[in-house]
Amino acid sequence: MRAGTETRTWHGPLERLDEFRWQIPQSYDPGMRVPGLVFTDEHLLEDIKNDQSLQQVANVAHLPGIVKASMAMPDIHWGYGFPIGGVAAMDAKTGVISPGGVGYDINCGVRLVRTDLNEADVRPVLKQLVAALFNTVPCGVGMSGEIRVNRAEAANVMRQGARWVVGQGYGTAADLEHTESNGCLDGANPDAVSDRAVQRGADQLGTLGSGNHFLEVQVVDTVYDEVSAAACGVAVGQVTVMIHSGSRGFGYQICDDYLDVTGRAMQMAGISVPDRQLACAPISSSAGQAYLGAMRCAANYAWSNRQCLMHLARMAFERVFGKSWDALGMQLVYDVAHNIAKFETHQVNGGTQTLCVHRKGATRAFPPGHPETPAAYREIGQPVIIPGDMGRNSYLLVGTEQAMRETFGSCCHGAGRVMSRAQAVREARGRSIEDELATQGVVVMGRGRKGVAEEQPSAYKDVNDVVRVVDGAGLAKRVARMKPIGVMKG
Amino acid sequence: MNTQKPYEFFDHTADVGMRATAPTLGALCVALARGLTELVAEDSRLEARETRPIDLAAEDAPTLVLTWLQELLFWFSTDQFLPVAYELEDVTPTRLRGRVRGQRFDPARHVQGREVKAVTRHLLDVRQEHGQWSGQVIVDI
Repeated sequence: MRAGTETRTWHGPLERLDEFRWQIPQSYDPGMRVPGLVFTDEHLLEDIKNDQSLQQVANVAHLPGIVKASMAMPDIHWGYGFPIGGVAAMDAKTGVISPGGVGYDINCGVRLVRTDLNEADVRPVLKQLVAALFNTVPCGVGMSGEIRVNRAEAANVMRQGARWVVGQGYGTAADLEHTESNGCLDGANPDAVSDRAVQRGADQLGTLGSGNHFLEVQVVDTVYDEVSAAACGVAVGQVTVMIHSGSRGFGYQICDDYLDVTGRAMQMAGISVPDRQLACAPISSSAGQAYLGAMRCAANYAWSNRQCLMHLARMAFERVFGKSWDALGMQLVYDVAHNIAKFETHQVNGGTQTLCVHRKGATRAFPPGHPETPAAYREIGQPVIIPGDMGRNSYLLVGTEQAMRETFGSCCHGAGRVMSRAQAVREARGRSIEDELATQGVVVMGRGRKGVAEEQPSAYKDVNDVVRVVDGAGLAKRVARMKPIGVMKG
Repeated sequence: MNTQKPYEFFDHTADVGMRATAPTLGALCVALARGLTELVAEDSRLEARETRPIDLAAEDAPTLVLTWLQELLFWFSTDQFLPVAYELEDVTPTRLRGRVRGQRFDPARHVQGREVKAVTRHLLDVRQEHGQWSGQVIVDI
């Protein structure tokens, strides 16, 4: 196949179920084991139809053991094998695990930190604050972290995740309570991780990375639900900090390694898929188990990384405001993964089933009262954090029973790109995105020459549109909206 | 510096594609490696200060090209080594051997490009037609 560069408009069947739901019927392709279910609206659907992501939704429906539907969130876009913004749950006994269903950046995710500061406290020192963050938090290409780990410690990071980082003094037990899975997945197997992955991860703990990763200082501009906002400790005018990063080179290498391993396992198991990038292995196979063990190491590395990054951000705030982070009220609201596969129990067709839920660019959104929803949020549901672009907004939502019933407790993960990187750089020619954002009151610092141009707001869908769909469909409920005032890009 | 680049970039939603055409498979590998270096370090002035041997085997030409680019990315990810000169001998669809010269990325002197997460198999295409080798590869940013 030589093509692939030009976009191909979707011509397959797409049945509208209601205002926010469209279905790709199973009859579209005889290999589909379940239908495709796309959460979107008419407006967002126009962009979605213009790439190959709907074909990818249909392709994922071919995977053995998939239950209910191959799902896509409104921020869906064309990925590798799986669409980005996809959810697929496989039966734990008969299903497959697919590295492509998790992605290169294993446990890429977002955390939201509240503060007691108001916009008026931060505005006068905003440039200084962004500079302090920029100097404290390593970011960009080839930058090493302050927090180095030797081989023995690396195994601790892989097994214990954020718990190990907190044990080193970089955070508190309360941080862990407010992290998905308490910042650690059981069943991590360092023996399943290649030396190359360990080498790529050795000096990247506590580094932000580049691309769409960021650290933002934000202000809450809207509260939709006073009770939930109060439980999360946020109110209009209050300053928050959002961190978006993942498992760095460590996770990228594990994905690469296991695309090969599962590709071979798939052939041996006689599984046929419509796209080589859907490489997968039966969960019960040795290849499947090895990937799961390695993926969990990367998930734990990512939680460690975001814990380190939050610690460094707290240190930068301490330096600028001359108070301890605790006195500044910098508590972690929540940390969520949006590239991960997890074993969870769900109700399917009236029965209880253990499933391997792949969330590739999708966020867990568990309801009030769920055992995995932290005590502080038991009444309101698990906080869901949805970052947008650097000019518009980001959101805090909470998970719902509707999501639990319909999407295995999942919702969207962000805005989703609409413009390629080259196109974004072309659009930015002769302009300074930094200056444009400055006139809107957003201070941006980026290390790369093209990084800020490539990540400009217009390169993304409007996160407000995306969130309106998940809120309208009942997959998560809006709690608060933030706007960026200080952005640090790798 | 030659003004005519032996490779070109193309758009892919969130990532970047590279393609090149060359008279030999070895030259194709070099062209795509130069593209990868530009993605990571833009037009940074790099010097051949360090020489590294390379010896790779693969089952076919596409996998060889992928393995080669993944190896260079690994060098960059682990100690920021960026290639600038290539002495490849003996490049067949299943074997690549030679030496790569370059230097380590210096954030103070070099230009930062993108952080390449991975060189992917997505739309990977390497073929020989009419006496020419052509290849395309997508890198995850």
